[in-house]
Amino acid sequence: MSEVRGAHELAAAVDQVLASNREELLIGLCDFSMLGNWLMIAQECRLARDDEVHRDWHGLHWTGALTSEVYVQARHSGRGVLLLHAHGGSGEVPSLSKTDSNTVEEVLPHFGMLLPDVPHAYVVVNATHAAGWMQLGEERRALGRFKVVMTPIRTWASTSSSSEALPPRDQRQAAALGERGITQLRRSTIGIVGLGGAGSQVAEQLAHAGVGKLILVDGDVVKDVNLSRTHGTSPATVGHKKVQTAKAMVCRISPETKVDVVADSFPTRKLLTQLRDVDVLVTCVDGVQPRSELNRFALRYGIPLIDVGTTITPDPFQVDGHLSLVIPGSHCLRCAGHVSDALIQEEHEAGRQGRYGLNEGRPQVVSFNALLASSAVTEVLKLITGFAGLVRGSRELHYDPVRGALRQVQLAPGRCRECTWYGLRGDRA
Amino acid sequence: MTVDEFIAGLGKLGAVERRAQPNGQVLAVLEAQPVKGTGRRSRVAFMLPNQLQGRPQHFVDGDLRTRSGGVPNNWATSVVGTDVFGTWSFNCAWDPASDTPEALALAVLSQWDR
Repeated sequence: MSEVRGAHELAAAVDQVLASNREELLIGLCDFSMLGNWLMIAQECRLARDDEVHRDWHGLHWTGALTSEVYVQARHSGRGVLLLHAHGGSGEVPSLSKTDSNTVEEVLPHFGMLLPDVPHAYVVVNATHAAGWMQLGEERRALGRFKVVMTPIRTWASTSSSSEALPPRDQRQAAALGERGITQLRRSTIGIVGLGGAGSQVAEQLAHAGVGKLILVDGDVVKDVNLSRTHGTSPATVGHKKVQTAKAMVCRISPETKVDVVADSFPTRKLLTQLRDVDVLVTCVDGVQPRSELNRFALRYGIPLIDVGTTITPDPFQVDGHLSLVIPGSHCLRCAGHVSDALIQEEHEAGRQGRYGLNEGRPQVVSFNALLASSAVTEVLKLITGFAGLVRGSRELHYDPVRGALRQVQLAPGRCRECTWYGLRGDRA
Repeated sequence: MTVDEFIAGLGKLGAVERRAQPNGQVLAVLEAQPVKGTGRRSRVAFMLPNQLQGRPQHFVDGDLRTRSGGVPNNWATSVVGTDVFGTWSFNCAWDPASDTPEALALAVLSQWDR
């Protein structure tokens, strides 16, 4: 499914277009990804100035000077061009007017010919749906989805869907999360990387919540030491792949939930493709290197990331748990200190000495993971259903089970180099 | 030895792609070379600071495996663009003042013949 994706900057511009009492033109420059389906990721966007367009009773027209300027900017930055305007209405897919169709036939081949290596898009939105076309060289595909990643995630679908009565299992949740929220949840895809103590509980709770699809990723098999904390395991599953035990658990709880499993460690090229289009990525890994890779991956493709980790130090006894919500355009895991060059170096040194990583052999307790896993699922529900309303930026929660304290930590102003380098850069970073 | 000098030396084995990194370093990616004992080819890459004072960090294709199907126990993978590269620690003295980049690339590949 071809998609245009963006962060808060795109949201603000689209809201301006939707709120205006006249026709506006949004011009965006987009990085992109060709892993699997076409994906354009809006980097810069603005509304056309009055001197760049003229309006008559047919609608809005842009000048040749504007087309030239956009071309120069796109060529200079190596990015694709996004052109978006709004039609009124909601609840159904906007239809492209004759003028729109003529414009698509003129503008997309124009940019496709001048900048054939990057995709370009022409999009029409209303309050709920989007329609349009994307072009790469001479090839054209219909827009499948228009999405802005923030809390909550805003998705403009390209197909109308019939409303069906919620099944009884969803009715209590719908009373809290809203029927639209539950419908969104049923359509969403969540990736979970790491199915140990925390990840298995996240999978279990999302199955109960009735998420539409889960992509479960873990390269390990169940060992006897995992039985004390990994949900869905039993002595009979020792030696089985963790993804298979998790899948069996999810299917038992929620047969409607589709489950894809990948018994591999992130990153592989297959995983890059599979996880790029998830709505939310939940990571419960115990190494700094994979955490760093997942952080970069989520930054590059504009995927909201929820990272959960718990470290127990036996002497003196100390438990340090964290939940990080990383929203594109805001603080990342490196900003929050969960990834650093020093930690990666320390982990590599541990590897050199024959140890698996920084957390190898460290103590683990099932209940210490539970609160953070539940909080992670709550953050997923906020992102997908919007039950908590608009929440800005990334968030960082620390959990100390010894003191029974879960507190939000203020993130320092300023962003790290990874955010600025990788943020929304797509395949090119 | 500078980045340009290193890349020029590496270029004796094949085409080299330069990829800028967020920390200001350059990842030099040498086109796929035969890997003895495995029946396959792999790219070799090096993370290069402005001035090389010692052996730079090395990488090979992330799906490279030894004859026996394994990877080093300190193996770590990372993504560059849409490529997955792998790295590990191995004992290999290399002095930019006296050793050549191409010799280092061949030393990296020779580790997999086991």
